[in-house]
Amino acid sequence: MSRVLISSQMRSGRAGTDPRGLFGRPVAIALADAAAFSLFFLFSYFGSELLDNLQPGSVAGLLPGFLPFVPLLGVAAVLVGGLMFEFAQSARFATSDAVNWLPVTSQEYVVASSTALAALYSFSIALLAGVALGIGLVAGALPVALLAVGLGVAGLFEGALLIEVLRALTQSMGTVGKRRGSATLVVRAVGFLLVVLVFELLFNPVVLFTLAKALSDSGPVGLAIPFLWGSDAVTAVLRSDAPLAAAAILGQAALLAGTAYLAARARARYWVPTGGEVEFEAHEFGTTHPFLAAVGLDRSESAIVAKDLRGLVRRRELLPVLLLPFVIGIVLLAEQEGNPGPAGAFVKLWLIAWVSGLSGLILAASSFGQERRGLVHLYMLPVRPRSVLRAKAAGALLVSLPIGLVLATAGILLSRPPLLSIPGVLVTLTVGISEGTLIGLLFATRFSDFQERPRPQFVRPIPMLAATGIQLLLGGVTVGVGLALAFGGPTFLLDPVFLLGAVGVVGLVLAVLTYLTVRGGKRLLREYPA
Amino acid sequence: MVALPSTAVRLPRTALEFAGVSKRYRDVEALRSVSFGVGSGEVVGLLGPNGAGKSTAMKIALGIVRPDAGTVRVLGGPIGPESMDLKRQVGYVPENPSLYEFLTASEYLDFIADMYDLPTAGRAERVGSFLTALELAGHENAMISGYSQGMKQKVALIAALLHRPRLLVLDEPLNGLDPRSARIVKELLSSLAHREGVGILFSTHVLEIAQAICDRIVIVHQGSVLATGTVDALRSRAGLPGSGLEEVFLSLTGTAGIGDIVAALSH
Repeated sequence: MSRVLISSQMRSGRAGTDPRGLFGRPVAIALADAAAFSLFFLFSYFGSELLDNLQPGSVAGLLPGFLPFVPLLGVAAVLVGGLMFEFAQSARFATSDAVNWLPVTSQEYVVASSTALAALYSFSIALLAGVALGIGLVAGALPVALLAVGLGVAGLFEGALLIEVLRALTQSMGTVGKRRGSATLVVRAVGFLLVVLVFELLFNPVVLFTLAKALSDSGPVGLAIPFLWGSDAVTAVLRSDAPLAAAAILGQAALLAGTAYLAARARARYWVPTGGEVEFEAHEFGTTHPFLAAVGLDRSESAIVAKDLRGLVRRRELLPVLLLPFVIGIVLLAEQEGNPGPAGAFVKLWLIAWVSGLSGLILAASSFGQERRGLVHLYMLPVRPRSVLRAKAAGALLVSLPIGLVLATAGILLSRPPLLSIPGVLVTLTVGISEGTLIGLLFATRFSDFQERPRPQFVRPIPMLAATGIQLLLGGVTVGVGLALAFGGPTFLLDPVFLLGAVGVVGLVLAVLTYLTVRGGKRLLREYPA
Repeated sequence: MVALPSTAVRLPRTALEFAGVSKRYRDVEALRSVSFGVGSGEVVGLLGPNGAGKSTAMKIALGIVRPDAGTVRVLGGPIGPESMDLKRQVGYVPENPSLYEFLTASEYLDFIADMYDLPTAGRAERVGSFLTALELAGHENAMISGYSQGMKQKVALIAALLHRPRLLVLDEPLNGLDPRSARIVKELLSSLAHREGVGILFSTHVLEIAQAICDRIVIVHQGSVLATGTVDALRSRAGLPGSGLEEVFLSLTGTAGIGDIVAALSH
């Protein structure tokens, strides 16, 4: 069953995956892992030998800072990736999964599914294993390196089992009985946000490195945190503390067993194979949307925006699209906590403005792909392509602007920039979000993915990466210049000629993006895709 | 007899006209010089095996797919992405209803009404009448994702009828409907066509239904129109007077050898 689940996951996210091809089969994972391990082992071994020859004993000095990190990353890799992709699974596919009606027990499913998930994220451990064993061999610490790798593999399974627990719990949030829809949606959205935020903060690379360093500097400080027991075991072995090492290893084993038990119980108790009826308050027909009309949208455009906003809040696979900017923004602000002063304020606000632009990008880029089979409405209903584009742009802006405002408020409160700079900051934020939205819409009109699959992706992955890169570049520069102006320096930026030029360039970029987007939209909406 | 909302309008003589329409998708010729028409007040059944080109023909009729050759006239005019006036007069039910399942039926139908720019006055009553007639009343505030296939089909049907269309394009509209609801829909379609003059292009695999309500049948096979006419005319053409439409269809589409297939599967 694990093999089937791995194949399903490998094929479900990529368009046109050939099941007979290498990349549609689980063996591809094993080959990738073997390649990563071999490459990084060789690099690490020969690199360490060279380093040790140049500076004897230096490699051994690397061990305390690196090896405790390995078990931690095993958990982090699965948790972070799983939270992003597993929770975006389409509810329709989740509830119609064949496994729901095949004679498979909860325990069997949990074992198979967690094994599949661990396998999918094993690349990170394979890579680290290569590095760890290379360094361990040179430093004469192969046994402890093997221990770290073994605990890293255990961490993979730990993370995978936690994902199973969370999946069962969140599945039940929207499907138990006939509960009121609004309450269900709020619980699900808030629950999702909290869970993702906690794990993103906890397993943030900056936080992980800090913890690993703290562990190596002052001994096993993570005994109170079960997820750190694997790292504690490695640290204890490096310090030749056998009793502590044994206790930590036993604790890790018990944790793994306990999580497996919890996952099986959660699956048995909370997994609901069929969605129940989710009811809402009686709908008022013919409601107008004065705010949308005030920003210039006609009735059909307002209807599309209202429909899309409902979808954003109600559809589980769109929750990451909605909440990701919050999560990234909060994590970035947390990482910048130790960066005070005007420079720190600039960096924080730059990051916030960039993330807000990213929010506009993601929302706009997924605006067409998220239609799925509902896309036919945009063709058969009496609505012009131009109106559809206006509605999609408006929808993305209506969500990303408030997100940006909330994040900017948090950024301003935390960084305390000069008061006079705040209007400039807000204007810059708005321009950055508009730019991100236009870039997203441009890519949406050309590279949307409408395929129905368990893990929908809305936009083809490589174009989406390109869009993010373009937004980072364009948006980064726009926001950087805008914030610099807002902060009142350097002096050459305040030159009227430069200012005029900057505004002109930004205006030209926005105009070109608009033109390309409208052209792409008309082409997309000319004929229903085959 | 269930009381249904009226859809009375003034109508042209021809609701839909295909003339030499061809469409190719990469290596597949979905339609090959297809010509047929649907008159106002006429129910035309579009029959054919799976992959015959029926759905493609319907999408072309809606203007959402462009033909590679030939002309299509809907209610007397050419239809395309910018033909808003024509689109406001056409109703469509796809084979698998592509509803926005995160909306409730009320929200979805209100969205459709907004898109067709229907007046807000009386909208709730009109939707309510349809919901009651098709036995969906009481479920209208639940998310469509929790509906059965038949319930979703009913919502799609209501969405196609809400704006009083002059041409209906229906792809397997009775899929998943219980016998009572199917009967209601059949009578409704008959009433719309024969009393109110709506043109209806109707695709189905259930030949008894086609025989019961269609005024004319168009049989499509491998992208071409094989035969067109009333059921009696098709019987004569197939040389099977008095036969059911199933025998006529199978004879005309050349799907012989079924006995051998069944024999092979039985062993």
